[in-house]
Amino acid sequence: MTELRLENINLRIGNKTIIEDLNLKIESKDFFVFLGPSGCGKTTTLRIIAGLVQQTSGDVIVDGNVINDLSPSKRELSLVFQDYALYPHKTVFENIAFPLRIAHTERQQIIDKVKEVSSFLAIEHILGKKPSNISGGERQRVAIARALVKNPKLLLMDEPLSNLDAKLRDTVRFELKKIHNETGITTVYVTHDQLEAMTLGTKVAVMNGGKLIQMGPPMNVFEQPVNSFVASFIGSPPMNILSAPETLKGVGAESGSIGVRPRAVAVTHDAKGEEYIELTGKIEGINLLGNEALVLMRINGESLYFSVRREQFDQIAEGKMKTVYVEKNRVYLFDETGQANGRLKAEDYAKTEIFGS
Amino acid sequence: MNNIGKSLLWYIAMIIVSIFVLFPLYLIMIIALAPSGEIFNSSPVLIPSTITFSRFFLVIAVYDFMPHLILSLETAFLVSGICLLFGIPGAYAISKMPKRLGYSIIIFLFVTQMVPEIVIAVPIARTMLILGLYNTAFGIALAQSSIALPMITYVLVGTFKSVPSRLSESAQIDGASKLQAFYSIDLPLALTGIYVAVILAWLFSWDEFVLASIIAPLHTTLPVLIYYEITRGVGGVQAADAFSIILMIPVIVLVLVLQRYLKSNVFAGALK
Ligand SMILES: Nc1ncnc2c1ncn2[C@@H]1O[C@H](COP(=O)(O)OP(=O)(O)OP(=O)(O)O)[C@@H](O)[C@H]1O
Ligand SMILES: [Mg+2]
Repeated sequence: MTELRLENINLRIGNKTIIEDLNLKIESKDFFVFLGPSGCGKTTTLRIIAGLVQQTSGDVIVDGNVINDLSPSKRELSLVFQDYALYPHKTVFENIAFPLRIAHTERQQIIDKVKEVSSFLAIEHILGKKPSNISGGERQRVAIARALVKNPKLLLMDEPLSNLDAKLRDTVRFELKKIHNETGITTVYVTHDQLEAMTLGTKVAVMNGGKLIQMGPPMNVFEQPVNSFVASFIGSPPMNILSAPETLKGVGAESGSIGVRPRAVAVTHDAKGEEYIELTGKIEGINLLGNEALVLMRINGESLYFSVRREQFDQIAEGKMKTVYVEKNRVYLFDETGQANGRLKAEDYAKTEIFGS
Repeated sequence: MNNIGKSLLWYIAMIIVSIFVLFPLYLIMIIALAPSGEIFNSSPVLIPSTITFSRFFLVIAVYDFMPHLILSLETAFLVSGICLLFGIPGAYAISKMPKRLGYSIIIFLFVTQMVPEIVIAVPIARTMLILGLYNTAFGIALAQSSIALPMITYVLVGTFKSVPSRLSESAQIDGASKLQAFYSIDLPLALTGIYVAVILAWLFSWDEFVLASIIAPLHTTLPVLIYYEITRGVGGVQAADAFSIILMIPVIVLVLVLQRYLKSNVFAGALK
């Protein structure tokens, strides 16, 4: 039941601006995801919220109270560090129990709470071990258990899945979703993985270069990116941005660039004529991914990646010229500065509501 | 084959190093234990025909050994204590400062070492006289700490810097005050370095000569005593040699006791 607001947060170190004019509101029970490339200031933003870094200007506001001057220990929040930060000299049990010991919780209650949270995260069997003797995935869970055990007002997580292998990442991602559903803790989650952002977030904030670029529910950000940066950052494989003059002329766009998502590309023509644009180029590479293939085509010196379903593998061959088709209302338009400028055909376009900017 | 060759090379290297380190110690042992006729001639033996412990008894009996030993031990432990008491908080603070500032402070600490000990020894002795600490263990310890403390602080700064700050940050997020984070996280993780610091401070004091001889000329520490006795000629060189062996014993005990705590991988499992 905690809401968090950041108002005009700026952070300068030396003469370098690390965070610029950050404004946002994270509502109670949100699973709020900061998404952005490496070095864009995600960790720094979390550290400002946690009180480990003091912002140059602006306010951190929790439930209406400005907490700028509150030390980290008084902020009643938890932080799962990017690199776990387990206490190497303490057992897993003592690591998880540490916040409770500091709060002088009663002995039996400590045991009960640690047991409860560790059974929830399936790490009961390693409670007696030291962090050096458990696997990366287990360390991850221990760090999460330590963050949850004190029932924080706010749960902050900094790329908690980045050190796990792909399979474990899927498992833990589902667990995190489950934890959030069951506890309802307002969560702020940092990642550079758009898949995590899309699947976990109730809201996503895309950052770049210390600035907030776009914020909203994941699907809105996906459907209505405000500029070509967001467009090419969200979605996997990423959106193709094409700006060669010949290409633009060929599809009837005036200037700037067009964006095409790989899955919007069709290799066969459904005879709808006007509704489609045609792109012709040479197929330079095919990556088979099982039921799907990722194809690279060169068009006027630019790369276009697109997906082809298994049934249509016979339509493509490496080294051959090929014409592909994209529905006009799925072609994004961007102006010269990269700002979104609607779709090639603005049908359906207005249906989705735009959140934030 | 390759592996065997490798470990063979390794063993040979170890044997050479061991000889290099242990042979002088062996010589000292021999000199203390062998009959004087076999040592003091133009071709001293490496393996004496008989050995005698008489010089050890002589040293302990004639040199009035015990009170000096106690004083030396007292002083060495006091120096270690003083160095930890002031070195730990000082070093922790310096380790958290911006690099430039911390570095300047460390340089500044070493300024006292630019003056030869003997130059500051006399004014220090005068001060001790005024304070009533002349000829006391505490007096010697204070004076020796003025030299040892900068060195210990420097060692401890390195130790605290090696403890990832992420861990005490994490403790603070978990609700610990800065002080609680310090003694429940930073301090235990710095223990290895602290043990090393204890050994260094202790050894420094145990060997220290100039300050001890000037601040406590009458009731003095073992290194000063050995010097006095040699210059007086009591028991000869071989007795002095036996003495130096006795001087080594506490050092060996200390290092053996503390080395169990010298771990190299204290941070394993902390980050990533
Ligand atoms: N104490 C500091 N002094 C100077 N620059 C800093 C400091 N802390 C962070 N930065 C800079 O601020 C920027 C943002 O860093 P931050 O760690 O927040 O990035 P991030 O988005 O978390 O990246 P990653 O995904 O790699 O973890 C980086 O360019 C970094 O070099
Ligand atoms: Mg980061």
